[in-house]
Amino acid sequence: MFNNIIKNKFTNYFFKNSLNVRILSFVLLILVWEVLALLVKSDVLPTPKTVLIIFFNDMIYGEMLYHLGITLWRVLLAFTIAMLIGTGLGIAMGSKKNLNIMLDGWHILLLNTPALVIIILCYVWFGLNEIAAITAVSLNKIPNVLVTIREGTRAIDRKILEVADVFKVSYKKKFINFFLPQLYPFIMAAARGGISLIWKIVLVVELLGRSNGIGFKLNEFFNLFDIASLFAYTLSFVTVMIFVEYAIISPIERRLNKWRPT
Amino acid sequence: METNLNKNVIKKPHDLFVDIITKSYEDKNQNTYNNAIKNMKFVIPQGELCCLVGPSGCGKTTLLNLLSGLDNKVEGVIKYQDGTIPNDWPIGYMFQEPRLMPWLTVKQNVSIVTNQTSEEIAHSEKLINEMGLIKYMNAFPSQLSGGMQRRVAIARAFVNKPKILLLDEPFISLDLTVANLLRQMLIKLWENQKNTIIFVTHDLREAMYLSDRILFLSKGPSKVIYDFKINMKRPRKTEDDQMENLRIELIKKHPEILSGKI
Repeated sequence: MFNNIIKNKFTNYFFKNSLNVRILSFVLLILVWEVLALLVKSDVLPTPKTVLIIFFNDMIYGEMLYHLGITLWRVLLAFTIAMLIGTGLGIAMGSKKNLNIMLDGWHILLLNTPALVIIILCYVWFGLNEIAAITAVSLNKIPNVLVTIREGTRAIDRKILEVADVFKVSYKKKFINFFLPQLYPFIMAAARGGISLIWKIVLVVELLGRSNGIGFKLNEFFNLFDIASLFAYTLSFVTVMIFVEYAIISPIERRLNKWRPT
Repeated sequence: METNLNKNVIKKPHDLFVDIITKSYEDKNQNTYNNAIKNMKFVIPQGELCCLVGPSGCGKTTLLNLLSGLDNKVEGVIKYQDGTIPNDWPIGYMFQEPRLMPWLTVKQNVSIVTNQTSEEIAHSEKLINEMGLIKYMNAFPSQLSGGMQRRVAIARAFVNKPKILLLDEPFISLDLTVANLLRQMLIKLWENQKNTIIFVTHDLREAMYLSDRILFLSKGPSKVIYDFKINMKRPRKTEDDQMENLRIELIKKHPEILSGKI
């Protein structure tokens, strides 16, 4: 009885802190991995320890950071281009009915073309170069950004824009301070989905037609059947993306949502 | 119909002349034009607080849109004594709802419609202070009550020192105590700035408490059917025998005046 109370107090305290739960979940994942690896005893599933050793070894003495940097650069470039073009087209199509009717067919075509087809066509048409790679990734993401932003533009509260009109606010200020803030939640949603989709496509693009980057290396490890290195490179990339999520996207989102009642 | 077009001996540059021959709307369903306003003619001397009272659907909002320049498709003239039009000068506007930007603080909501020079920001702060909201300068609208949000909207309406202030039933759906407080605050700011105010309402008591003069409008197509002067000293009391007698007398003389008939 007395024991129970102490136990409950401890569990209550432990689970109150969401960080504790997160750490527990992470430790559990590693444990499951470790156990499975020990059971399988094969190169196909290396243990966490092996992967970690290769990870640090390659990071310090190998080319990991170079390839990681190249891939991140491509992600950043393709992301920026896709967001800019997608947002611009989304706003235009959301506010101009005729333009929307005009471009909607093209948009649906692009939205439903498999990523692989776009990548192959870009390489065939533009050659196996950087421009083709970035174009292919951007083209894959633009239609998704467009859908979200167009929806956001249609949901704009005209009454707020009317305030800008009666107080004779300049066109630029009306756009930046009265229009765009209403779109922020949609832009953030597009960005979040964008990053995760783009880095996956970047890897495919690298695998098919570049001679550097994480995707290129993964292909190499596949051919050499070096699964431990494959794990290590994946780990490096996932680590960076988690960092991007927690250190960049979440803080921006928190800042933009400051006004919302909790 | 009586106007004080000729009786107004001392002319001021911003006496407002309104002479609308017709204002019509295209009815897209029936492909016809509906007249919202017809032969509406009145003069509002500079610095007068004038209430417009009429039945619902009498085109009051249409008239305000014409005065504010949101809508300029009209057959007729709306101009100041000096030949300029209201849209050439700063305009203050208060809507039925507060229409604040939820993502801006109280202070930003007021100053956003100015050019945000240091003087204008200081003036915004001064007005917010006069509205009794100094503690809420950096609060977001969602943290304020409905009455407080309207106080912010009043401050915003006055912040550009407008020549003319248009108010479209701004105190509707508030409880009596709060509405009375806001009316007092409105009068206080108006007495400092001496802007011309056009206040639309369907509440005769409210009109009598606030205004120098009430223009009664007919049902659509709307025109002025009665021009009623109120020569009572300020500050007025919200519950006042003299005012109540005046109101009863008016209703006795013209029992259907509030439904737009005389």
